Amino acid sequence: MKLLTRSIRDLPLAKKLTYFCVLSSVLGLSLAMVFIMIYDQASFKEHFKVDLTVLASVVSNRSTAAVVFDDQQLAENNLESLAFHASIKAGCIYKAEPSESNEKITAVLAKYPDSSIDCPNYTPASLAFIDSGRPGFIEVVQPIELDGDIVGYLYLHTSLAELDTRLINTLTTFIVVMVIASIFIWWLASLVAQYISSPLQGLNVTAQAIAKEDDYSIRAVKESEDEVGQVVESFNRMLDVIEREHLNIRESEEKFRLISSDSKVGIFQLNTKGECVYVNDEMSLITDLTKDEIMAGSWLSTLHPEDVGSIQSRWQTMLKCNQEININCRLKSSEIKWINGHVGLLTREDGTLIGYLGTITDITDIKTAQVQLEQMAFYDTLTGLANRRLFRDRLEHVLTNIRRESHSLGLILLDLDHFKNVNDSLGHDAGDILLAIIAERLQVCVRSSDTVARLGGDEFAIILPVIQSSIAVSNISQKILEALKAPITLNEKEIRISASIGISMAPEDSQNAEELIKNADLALYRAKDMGRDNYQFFISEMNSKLVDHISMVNDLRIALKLEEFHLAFQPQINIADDHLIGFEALVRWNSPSRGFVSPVDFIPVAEDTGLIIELGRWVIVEACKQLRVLLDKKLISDKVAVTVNLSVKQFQDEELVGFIDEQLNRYKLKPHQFEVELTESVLMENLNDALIKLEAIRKLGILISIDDFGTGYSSLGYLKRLPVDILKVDRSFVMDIPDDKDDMEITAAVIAMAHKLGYKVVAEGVETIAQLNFLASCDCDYGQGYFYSKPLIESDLIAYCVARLAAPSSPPSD
Amino acid sequence: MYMCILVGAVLLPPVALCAEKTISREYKIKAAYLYNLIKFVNWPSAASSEMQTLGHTSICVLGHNPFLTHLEKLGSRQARGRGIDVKYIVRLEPPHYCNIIFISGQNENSSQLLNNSQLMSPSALIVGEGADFVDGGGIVSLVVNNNNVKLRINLTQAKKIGFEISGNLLEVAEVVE
Repeated sequence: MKLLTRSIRDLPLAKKLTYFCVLSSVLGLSLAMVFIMIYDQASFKEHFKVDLTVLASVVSNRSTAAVVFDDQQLAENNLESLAFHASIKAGCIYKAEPSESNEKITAVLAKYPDSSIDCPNYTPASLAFIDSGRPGFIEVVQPIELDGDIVGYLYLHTSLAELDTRLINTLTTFIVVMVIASIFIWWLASLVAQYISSPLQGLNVTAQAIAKEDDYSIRAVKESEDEVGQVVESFNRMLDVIEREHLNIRESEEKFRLISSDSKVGIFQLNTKGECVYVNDEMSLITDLTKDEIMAGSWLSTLHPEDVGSIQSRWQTMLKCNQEININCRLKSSEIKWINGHVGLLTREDGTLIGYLGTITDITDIKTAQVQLEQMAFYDTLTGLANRRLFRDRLEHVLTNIRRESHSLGLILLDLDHFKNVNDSLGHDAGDILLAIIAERLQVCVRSSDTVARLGGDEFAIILPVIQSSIAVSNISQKILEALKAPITLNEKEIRISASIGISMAPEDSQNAEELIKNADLALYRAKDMGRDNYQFFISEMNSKLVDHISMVNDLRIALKLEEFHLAFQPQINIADDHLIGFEALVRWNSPSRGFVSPVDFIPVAEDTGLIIELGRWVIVEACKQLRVLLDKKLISDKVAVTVNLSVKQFQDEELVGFIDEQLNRYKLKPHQFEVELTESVLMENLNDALIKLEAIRKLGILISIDDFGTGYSSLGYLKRLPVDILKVDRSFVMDIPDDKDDMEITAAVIAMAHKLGYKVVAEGVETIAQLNFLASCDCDYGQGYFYSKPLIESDLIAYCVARLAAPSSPPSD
Repeated sequence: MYMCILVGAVLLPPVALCAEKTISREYKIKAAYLYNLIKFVNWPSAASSEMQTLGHTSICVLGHNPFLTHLEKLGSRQARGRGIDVKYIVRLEPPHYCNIIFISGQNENSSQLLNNSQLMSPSALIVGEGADFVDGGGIVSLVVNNNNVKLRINLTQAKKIGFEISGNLLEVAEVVE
């Protein structure tokens, strides 16, 4: 069946059309014939019946007398007349006899064509056609009537053979007609088909000519305006478009060749099987292969042995799954080349794959630059150690792993002690050499899996990713401290360096990198506090201190803004004549949230954060303002000076001297009415600087005093060089007078020494008459303390001065 | 059964009993023929309208009655919508009214009876027996021939009187001109 369908489909159009016409004509004719024959048969049969009825009626009518008068001869004669009707095969005439039971009994009167006919023996009621008796026969029974009575019957037996004959005749005629008609239709249809198919054939010839000669200017000839003519026209229009497109393709192909041959990118084209079909010049330059070698598919063999596996597998995946790939790999030509490549799919508009187009670029230069950049981005240029960024990356990385594994991590932060001094004294170049040496030593002390990083300046960090316990970290830290201590020769000078180390452990202290670093930092500060050259582990207490510190800083900022500070003034009295010589201004903080905060607590915080500069200036202004008030009220003499304490940061402030001068002018004060008080440590921080500053202050005429003298390590050598007016004997010495003889001797010696150097002496913390007497006996110049007065707030200060005016001063007495 | 009897009558030798039966059968047939003649013959118009008015056809057996009781049965039958009246008369005298007059051949004076009938009932259909009956002026004769009863009709005589005789009847009959 399929074979038939295919063979019909493959027939030429003209044949198809002809067959169709002939077949449809034959079908139509046959159908018509069949209907005609059925109708003919039915109508013939009907006519036949009518004929028979008429015949029977005539014969029976004519036979009435014959029946009634028993004229067999006549009856037979009458039947003879049936002979002209060939279909009638037999005829019988019956006579009906009234019997005693009044039933009609029939007796055969005559038979046709001869007496051998077997007439049926029964008594029919009326005229009847009996079709069912034997197929192919019709039987007719016609009653013979006379004067309303049935006197006999006529029986006819007819054959339907004529019907069959007629059928055969009709069929024969039909077949003959059909054959003739088919031949005629065949001829006609061939003509039409030829007429239709020949222009199409013309199109085919044109198309073949174009394909053969590759000449798109050939056009088909249009012969008519019908659909075929329109097809020819459309075909020609299509050729116009193809011709144009063809030209465009030639052009763009030319462009492509031009671009690809001049390109600095290696270009190759593959067919769907992955075979190379095109390669440009640059491709062979990059791969150091000839075009033929590349076409033979060997360029992949030039891949670097380390890359060849992965690239080959991706190449196979690309061919198997039809997907684009990006490659980044090395070639093992004369020198290692880095290439970056892309192979994309070449598809038709409908998405079917027609090949691959690949490009490769020599990115060796970029790669080299990239490596350098990476080096710069992640490594410290001076020491070659990991920089802060890489350190953070590694730390984060190790911390994510530590969550899965059971061992610990140790983080060491290391700060060189007094590195600034090296820089200052030996120069920055020497400092850099030192750092490089330190870096080497650190790396020797740790395992290769550990990360040593320089975080900046003299700050180093070490990540110990797999550590069994803090004891191991402690051992390593000790080792580092020892290693660093070995003498180093710089600029022909031998120096020794030490370091402070802070350690935090993960996951014990924290699993967060930020927090871990902060914790190690706190531990590092603690190590510094503990006198440097040691290591400290982080303990959680450090953290709470930190929290306190932060909140203190915040509160301080707010306090400055809201002016929560006030000053208290403690009078300083000339021990000899009991005259008021000045006040020491002391800053007080009454915080709404914290209550009274001791300066011991908040001054270091202010110092650390730099808030001390602002606070210090406020103190200077307030002190001057207060002095002015007292002067204006004429409660004090113009010889009374106000003393303000200066911290390290304040003292380093370049604008300090100018600011003080400004305030003195503003409140119309003489320089000798203002005194700055410094601790030994302020001076020792940077002695050279301090000297210059002190000279400047001195030049203004402002008084300078040294606080807490005797507690520090300051040598007399230094002291001698200081442009100082007054020394203060620390309260710790005064406190134990008269019980501690040593303190008394020191106090006496200090006073004597001060006097020798030309300084005045103020004794702090004078609380008892015994102390005062002893100080007086040592010729101590001035006294300050609860014996005279506690520090006074503004209102009390005025009252104190008023009272002093009222009661003229008198030397103390027992 | 009838056929058997008829055949038997033809083939068997004449025995007294059988002969009697044969004669009875012959007249039974002839009685039926008389009855049937009514259906094939149109009487002259005067007689026809008279018969219509009276509502019956009158059959008169003149002289000897050979039919025994066969004709009696006709009294209950109808022909052409009319009843049948059978009479047995010795001589034709008024008020005898006859449409068919049967004169048996067994009458010794049959020709006299025929003449009398022609005179007395000119529009009656005169039926007799024997081949020469019609030659003598009868219209229809019932002739036994070959064991069958045949009709002999004097068509000239019938037409003269004004009878119309159906072609069918003429076909079965021997026509005398």
